[in-house]
Amino acid sequence: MIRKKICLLGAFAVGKSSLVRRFVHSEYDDRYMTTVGVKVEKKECQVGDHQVSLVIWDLHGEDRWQEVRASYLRGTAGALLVADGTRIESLEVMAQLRKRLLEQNPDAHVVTLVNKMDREADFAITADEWRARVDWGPVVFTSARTGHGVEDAFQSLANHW
Amino acid sequence: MDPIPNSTLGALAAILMRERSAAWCRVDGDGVVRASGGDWQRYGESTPVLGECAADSFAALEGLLPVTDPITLHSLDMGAAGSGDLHVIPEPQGSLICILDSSPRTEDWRRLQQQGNEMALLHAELAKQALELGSAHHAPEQPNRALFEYTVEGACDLLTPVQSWLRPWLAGRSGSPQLAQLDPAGFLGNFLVDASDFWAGTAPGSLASGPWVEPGEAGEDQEYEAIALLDSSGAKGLILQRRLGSSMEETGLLQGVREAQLHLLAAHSEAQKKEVLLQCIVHDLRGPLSSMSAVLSILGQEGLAQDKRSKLLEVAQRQAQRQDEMMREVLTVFAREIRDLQRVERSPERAPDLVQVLRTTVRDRAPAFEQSGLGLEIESTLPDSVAVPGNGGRLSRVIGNLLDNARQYAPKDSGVQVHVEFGPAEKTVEVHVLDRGTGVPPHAQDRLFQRFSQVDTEPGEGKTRPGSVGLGLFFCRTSVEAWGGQVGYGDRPGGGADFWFRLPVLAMGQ
Repeated sequence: MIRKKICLLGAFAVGKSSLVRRFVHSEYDDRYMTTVGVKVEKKECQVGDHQVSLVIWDLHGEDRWQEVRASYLRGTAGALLVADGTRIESLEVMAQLRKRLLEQNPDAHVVTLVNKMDREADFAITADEWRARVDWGPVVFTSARTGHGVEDAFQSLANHW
Repeated sequence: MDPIPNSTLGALAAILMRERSAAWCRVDGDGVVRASGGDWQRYGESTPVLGECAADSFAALEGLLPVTDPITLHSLDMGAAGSGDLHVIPEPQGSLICILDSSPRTEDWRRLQQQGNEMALLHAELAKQALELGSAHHAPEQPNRALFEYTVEGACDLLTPVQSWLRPWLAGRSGSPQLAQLDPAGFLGNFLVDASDFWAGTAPGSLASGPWVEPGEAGEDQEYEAIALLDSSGAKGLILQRRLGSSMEETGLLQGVREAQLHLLAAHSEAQKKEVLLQCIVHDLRGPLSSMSAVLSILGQEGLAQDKRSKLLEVAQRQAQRQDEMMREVLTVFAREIRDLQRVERSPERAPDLVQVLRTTVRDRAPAFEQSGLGLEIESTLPDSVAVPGNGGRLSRVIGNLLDNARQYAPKDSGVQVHVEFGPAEKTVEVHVLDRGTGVPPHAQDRLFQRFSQVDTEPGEGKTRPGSVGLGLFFCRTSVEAWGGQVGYGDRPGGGADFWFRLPVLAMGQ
């Protein structure tokens, strides 16, 4: 079976852990629980006629208190870059992390998520503006709360293998 | 070096693990003191200031001060910014000394970072001592901690007893368990790559992995940490430990500061929203005033027929009432605006009738158009009644904003048409407000419906509509989208602007 390491990268409280929890356990918890280090989960995905085992690294959010270590990104085959649709500043953190990821892993596949779609009315900028501001590729709008787009996001990454 | 009794190591470890914030030193039998740790630093400084420590301070001890055995001090002045308690663990050949910082904490986060370094140092010392003992039988028993020795063959031999939680990481060589070859996609496997580089170096010290969580034996989340060790004699070790609640303080602190930051961001966002709503109200208050001003101007003309005069007075009165209502709304406007955005009436019986709202709004705006020398007409293929989601007052303001916009931009003596038609299968209804002005330049179209967006009245000259703050179209978009519709702009064939919005049809009737 193909085994691939994927990372979730983004600012704090954008919903990375909730996305993993939704994808792996089909659960959601409204409470915000910060991630201090790294949480590793595994899930298998069906891609065509074969299976891909995803080793999912849910990294702590990056902010002034915690910086993502370069060693955590080593060997990353793919990443979900996550921003919070209601917080425009999460875009800049996401862009910085993407840059660091690709400097270290030029061949890594990246899927960009704008999370908290269930709160679209509170978005800092419109969905179209998010698409325009993410200038490196398409954006997937997700909601860990409702599950909207979550399966597709992980699956689209797995489809590369 | 003489072996240190397990009981001494255990006692020291217990103190360190309980208090975590500590410095240590070891007094050898010949009276030589060797020390390490960070709590004797003054807070706020990155390096210790030895010269400012008291003569009997820990820093002075570090200066190879001869020490009689046993040391009996129980408290220690740590200098200007700190204080500490001294714990002495007597040994046959000397003493182990542990200094616990009891200073008031002024920078909690700094302390936590410092703790991380100290823990690594302490682990290093404990492991070094355990390695020096050279036998798993003498290693301190810690049910949640395992000690491995990195061998010249590149394997990691387990020195401590096998614990059940360790099994997933162990290779099955009977009697001499080792760390298995681990997939670098996993956390520990990834850390061992760093650890190998670290062990290949010559600088003694430690390298901590940082905490990680992965499912334990029973599938429950379990937190771990690994620390690679290298001592001055070249001995290499690896501590693998389960963190049972030890990170709760760190987690709690981070949770606190991040929640505080989220609250701050939310408050900032809310303040912005209220500012926008306030400006929306100011913007809307101008609408009725424009109509009343136009009515008064027309009423001032001589020779006006009585019936026309009566109709104009009726319009002025209605506009005055509308403004009065809006001003009273200001008192509770923020709460109402937010509720309005969230409240969508979808019951056909209570939903607004687009046709009626449109007719009333156009009639109320007609005097202002007349005074501007503009025609205003409705072109409709709809029946007498079409129910759409939303609420009537807000729908009227959406249409009114589009009409005000067209009136400002349409050239004098031209006409503004309001074209209304069903979409495919009569599932939606579209309202187009069409003028023959200069239209919207391409560079401005993308931002047209954003807040504070303004359109140059004369392209290239940077002029904006007088008095406009760029909220009218933003208001239209947020309202229509909240009702499940769309709003947009297109260039009108033959020149001019075509502002439109589309809403779902809930019901219709003659």
